[in-house]
Amino acid sequence: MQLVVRLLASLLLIGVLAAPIAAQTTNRVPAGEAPRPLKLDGRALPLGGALKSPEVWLNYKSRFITDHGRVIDTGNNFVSHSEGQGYGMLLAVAANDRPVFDLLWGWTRANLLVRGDDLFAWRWEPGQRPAVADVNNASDGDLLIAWALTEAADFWGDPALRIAARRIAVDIGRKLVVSKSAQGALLLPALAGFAAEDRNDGPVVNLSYWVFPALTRLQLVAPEIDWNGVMQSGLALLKIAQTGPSRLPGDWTALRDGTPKAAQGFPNAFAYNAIRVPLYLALAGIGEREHYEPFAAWARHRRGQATIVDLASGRDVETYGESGYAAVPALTLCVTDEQTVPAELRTSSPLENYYPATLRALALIALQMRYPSCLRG
Amino acid sequence: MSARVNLAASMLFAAILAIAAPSLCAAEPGGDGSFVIDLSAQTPIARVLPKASAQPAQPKKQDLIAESPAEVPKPVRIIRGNAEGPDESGLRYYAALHQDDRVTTEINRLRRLYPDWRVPEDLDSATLSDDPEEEVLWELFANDRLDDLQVVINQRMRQNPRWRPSKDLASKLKHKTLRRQIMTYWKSGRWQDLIAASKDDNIPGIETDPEILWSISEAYARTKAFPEALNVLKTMLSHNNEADVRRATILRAIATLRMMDVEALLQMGRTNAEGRSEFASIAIDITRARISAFLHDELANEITDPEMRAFEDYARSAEDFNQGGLVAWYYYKRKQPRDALEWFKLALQRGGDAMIAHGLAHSLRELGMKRETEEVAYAWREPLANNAILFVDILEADLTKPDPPLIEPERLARYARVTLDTASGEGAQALAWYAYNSCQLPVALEWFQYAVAWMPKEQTVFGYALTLKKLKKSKEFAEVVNRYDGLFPSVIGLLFPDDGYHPPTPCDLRLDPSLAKQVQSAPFNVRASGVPPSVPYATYPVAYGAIPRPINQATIPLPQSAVSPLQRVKIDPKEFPISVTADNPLRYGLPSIPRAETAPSLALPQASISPLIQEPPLASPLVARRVIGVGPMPYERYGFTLLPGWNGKNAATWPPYSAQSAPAGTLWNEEVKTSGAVVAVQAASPQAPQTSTSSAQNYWNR
Repeated sequence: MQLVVRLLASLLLIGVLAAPIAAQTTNRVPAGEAPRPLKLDGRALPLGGALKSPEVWLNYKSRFITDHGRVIDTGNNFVSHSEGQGYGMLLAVAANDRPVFDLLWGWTRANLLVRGDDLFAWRWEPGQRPAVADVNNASDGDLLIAWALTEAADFWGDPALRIAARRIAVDIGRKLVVSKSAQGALLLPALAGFAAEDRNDGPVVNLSYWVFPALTRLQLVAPEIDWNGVMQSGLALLKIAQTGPSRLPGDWTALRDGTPKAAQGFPNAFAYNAIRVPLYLALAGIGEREHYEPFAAWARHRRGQATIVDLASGRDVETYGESGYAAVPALTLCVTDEQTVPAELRTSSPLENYYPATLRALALIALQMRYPSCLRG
Repeated sequence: MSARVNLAASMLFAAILAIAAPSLCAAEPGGDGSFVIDLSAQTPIARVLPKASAQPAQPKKQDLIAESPAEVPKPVRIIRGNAEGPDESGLRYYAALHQDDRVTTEINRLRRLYPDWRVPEDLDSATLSDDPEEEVLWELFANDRLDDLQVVINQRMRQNPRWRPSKDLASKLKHKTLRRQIMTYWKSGRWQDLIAASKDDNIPGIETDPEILWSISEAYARTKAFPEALNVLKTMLSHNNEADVRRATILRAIATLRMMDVEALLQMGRTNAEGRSEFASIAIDITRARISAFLHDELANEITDPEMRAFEDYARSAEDFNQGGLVAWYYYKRKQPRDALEWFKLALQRGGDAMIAHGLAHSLRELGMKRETEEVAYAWREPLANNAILFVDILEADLTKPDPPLIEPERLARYARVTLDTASGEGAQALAWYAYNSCQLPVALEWFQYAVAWMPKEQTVFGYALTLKKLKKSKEFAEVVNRYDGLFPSVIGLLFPDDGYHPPTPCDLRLDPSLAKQVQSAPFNVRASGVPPSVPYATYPVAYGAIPRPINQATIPLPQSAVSPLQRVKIDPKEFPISVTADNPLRYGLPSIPRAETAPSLALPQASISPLIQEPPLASPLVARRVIGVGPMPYERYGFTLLPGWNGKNAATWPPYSAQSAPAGTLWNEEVKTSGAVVAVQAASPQAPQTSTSSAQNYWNR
């Protein structure tokens, strides 16, 4: 081994110079104790029928989905967005609810597919003239919709859904993936406003737009797109974006000159966006301990409560008031510490708003699909 | 849908499939403790194979060995090697016990796994450890019961703190344990863990263990640490003289490294006295990898003509259609569509799948054979979404021409069927425009309704509103225009004249030949289009193929309420502005085609119907607000203003997002550069907004 080790040691030095490596998280492990490898299964598992809690879906659709097929953001003036439509469609296919899936997809394309390409206007507000508020897209919404269509096509065997999924996925890959950047294949958050040429601190990315489980499944409909490259860049960025005392990533990250910084004009916080990062990692069953450890530390710190963290100080600035957010730290600790998920997070809450309810439902799907041992007891 | 992207898909498919040829392999631990080289392992084939494609059954690994082409070396079987050669511990243990039958079995096993291995001459002198109790430990070791062995050792150390296993056993146990751990990480793709484990020092024999070094190299490659990955294999080639191992190293590199790194390893190849490369027997694999690299835009050595001819000879005789397909895509990318066409044909004859047919269709398209393209895409539309999309898009270009060509009714009928079956917004708007431009307005209206339900882009909503207007469906027209106020300038432009000259459409001319005179004499400031028809539509002479009517249409009635006067531009207050519901009432579901009930057995039962929230019937205000990303509305030139956008911004977006340039570094940007197309960024005055135009529609045809 000596020979190889010496050889690799010198090469590693080169590697360090070529690509910044995240600070080791192993220093969080007591001296002499090696961190346990995570028990992850990174296979791209199908989502169709994966939700084994009918009550969660019944509650969700009766509270957040209209008879027109619109998903309502109840905590945000009852607006709708491409992200919400995507989440609704994913949950519908996970719950094997084809009628509601069709309703959701019908509304989504009839109201948000207004741009002239196969991406979606991201924001829609009822009672406004016009209801579309912004024709810019949001990559996470596009990814979620394409992923939901892919899962639906796979689960229900419908070629029409596969074709729709492919058109969207190809446009994401064509228009929103900046290949060969210093960080690899970057995912722009939107077509307008975030590229290097759009901002002084650009490109600006949102790590929670890397919907990892979607990236592993879109291979089914658009294999020519470098989804693996996008996934790898997301994982790499997660490591180098772990800065500040908490080592958590921010919601918005500027990558000018290749060094992650807080994006101008956005709060430097681990908040409503980035809370989805560990959720998506766990839902995809990917990542290493190094990726999860800051989230696990965050989860342990508040004993399972979810908080918004100011990244400059590393301090909590707010505790999320609704319990659905706590599903994310619970899922994280399941992955890292094999900790059992509290019973109250395994069911729905009749009071919480759309967003925490969505996080809770997705976390539950992740647990049921990949970590059933955390649901025992 | 970009044809380029379709093609990129196909080429990558081809590369991936072809690279998985039987002769290629990746080392994988065999069930008997040996290591069988199987280059099909750890490739992303399983993930990219379209489910619908009719792939031949993948042969088992054993079959791969048997069916390897003659010019490719047989997969190499390598026993776990280390500095001391194969693991003889079990053999020596049985020899020491004089268990001749088991000695013979072990010798046969080692010979089978490691043909060059020779029975050690000192086997007769094998003795058991001084510690008779260690015999049990060696037996556990020989039977690969390492966990049990560790338990026993721990137990003995607890009982007797001064006891330690012999150095020989401890060393071999450490080696074997680490090896097993590394291979476990390799099998489960835990690359970082594998790399971390490989850094454990003082493990004798690891540095010359091919399996371990290949695995370490792959772990580095998978984590994008290519220099490290390359150097591990360079170490291998520098220290290992076994021909099979050296060739296998190249094949492993092909499967995991960048081609430029593979080329660096090939540079380390040796030649014999006749000047023949030691890698000559895997030349086909190397060429295949170079073709794949070319298709992936990876750096690699240029493929020489003799090299290509050799590969073509191989592909021509190979039963695997992917080999011919690879040649086809190679020529396609080299812009030699005629050569590509021939190879795609050959690949199809060999049982090629829908992706090969896709390549065939694109080659035909490149050769200007659009009708043939359409036929191939149609025939292969069901197994592969790419072909269905190509079928819709290839005919869309003709259907949406302002002066469309005649298209046979049967072609239109099948296009309509595919459009409905696949709920294609693109197909629906194409049929709508074809009907519109060939004076079949009632049919156009029905197709526009589908198109607006499935893909309500500006041009489509404009066509829908225009058709409603021509059909004098004033109420519906007003609802559409008001619904898209603030979002689609061209739709609002139907109410507000722009003082420009808009020539009559071919349909207008057919309906009213006198318009032709106006066209010839019209000054530029005369708007000559929009002349109402003078005869009932039913009596129009239809010079084009009749468009089949869509079936199962269902619209939701629209409410309307308050009105507000706009005196200065003579707008009918019943028409604009009026309050309408915000959401698009055209929401057709997918067509009611028969579907298999395909709920997998583990899925939930079909979710029960439960009440949804009733969409609140909110009527829109009468004044539009700014939509971020949209240019000015036509009525702004008359002094009317809009409310601030959702983010408080007052100004129109200019240029609008629909005319934005492609972000640098994207495929879209590359397409623009390659095609020389100009992205329509209109930097001119916002007073003259230009909506992005499609070659499909005569934008101002009214």
